[in-house]
Amino acid sequence: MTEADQREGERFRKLALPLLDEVYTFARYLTRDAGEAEDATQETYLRALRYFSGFSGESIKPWLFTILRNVLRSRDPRRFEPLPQGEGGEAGNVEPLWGETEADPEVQMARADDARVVRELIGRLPSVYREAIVLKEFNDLSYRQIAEVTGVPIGTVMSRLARAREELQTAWFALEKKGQKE
Amino acid sequence: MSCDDKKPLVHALADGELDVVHAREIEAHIASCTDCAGSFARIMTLKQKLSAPGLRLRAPTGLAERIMAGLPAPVADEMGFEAPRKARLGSWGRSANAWRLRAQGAFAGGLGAFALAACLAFFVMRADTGNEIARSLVDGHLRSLAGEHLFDVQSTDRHTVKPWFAGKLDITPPVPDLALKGFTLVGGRIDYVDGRAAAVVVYGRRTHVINLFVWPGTDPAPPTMELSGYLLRHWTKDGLTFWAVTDLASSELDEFEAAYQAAT
Ligand SMILES: [Zn+2]
Repeated sequence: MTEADQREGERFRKLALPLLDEVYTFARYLTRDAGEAEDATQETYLRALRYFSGFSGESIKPWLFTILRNVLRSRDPRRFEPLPQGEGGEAGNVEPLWGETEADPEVQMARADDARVVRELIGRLPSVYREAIVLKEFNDLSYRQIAEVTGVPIGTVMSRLARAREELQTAWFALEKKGQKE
Repeated sequence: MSCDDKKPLVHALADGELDVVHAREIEAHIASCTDCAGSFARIMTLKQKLSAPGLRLRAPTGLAERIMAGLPAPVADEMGFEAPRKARLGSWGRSANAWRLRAQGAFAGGLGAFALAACLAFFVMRADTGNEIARSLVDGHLRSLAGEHLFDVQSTDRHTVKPWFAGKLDITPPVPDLALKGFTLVGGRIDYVDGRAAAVVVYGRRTHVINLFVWPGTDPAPPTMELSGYLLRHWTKDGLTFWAVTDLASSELDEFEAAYQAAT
């Protein structure tokens, strides 16, 4: 191993490792599965190291997310498929996030602002809305960076984000109303 | 009255994506439109909820170790943070261009989606310029931390540091004593940012370093940027541009800026 390799490794360690929690957060919301998220995160870092010499140096965060997204897509090519009716698809197929279902008494009893409930609601969003809101709110990416990562125009990022927020607000409202009835 | 054309801008305002001029415009509209005011309030409430603890997750223990096991061993002397730039310039430059082209493509495609995206264009291009400077500032900060070049003059005495700059640059940066505010002066140096010479005043807090870059001119730039985990804060005063770079928490950087500004 040459000294240059070691320095490159050191540079990678300093730039990329502090972002591990963020990369994992994105992976977890996208996969909704702890094991899969962990695997995908590890693979992302291995790939990132391999291509690190080609990294543009502007900002490593969107670059890591782009790689993670490619890792996820290569594992499930349908993950980021466009929605049935263009961008205006339904949040129809509800997969419970992390096995928390409505039948789960813990969820029913939880107050509406419980983090678990919020995670559940985000987990029910269609994946293209979900990734937009996660990248914006949890990973603090700008519109331009989200556009880079997801490979769509900024206008599309904005409409997906607006849609994600609308659906979350609606779901939230329904939950609170239900809570009041009980 | 329908405000459909305003909706994307209400989100952009909430997300801090608008430049000052357009932010003022949409704020003025919100002040006079209950519909948009309601949307804005709902977006802010939601953002508030999403900032609750427990939503940003932590990687499982052991994952960092497993990833590090696949990395080259650390450099023994902990010096030389960066590989020599020339050796890498080829692939570096090429992919930077590819990256930028993709970003521009992504943006150009968006123009059709919203007529009002033009104001974002302004913001986005400015952010690009800012990024080059930010990258250069963070590089300078990292080089200094790697022990390559933290000081040319090392002193906690402002009467030593300030005169040292005179005669070396066209400007002499203010070097206030901020010890009472919890920021120790540690020294100064001359560095190069984006090709221009800058005075750097170095302050410390606990084990953290704040590199304050100063050069003449007052070009616009975002007040705060974050790059590779480092915070950058920008302000201008008396015809000088100031950039503070640090790994301190944002609240402590606020404190530093306030203390420095109050003393100059
Ligand atoms: Zn309106």
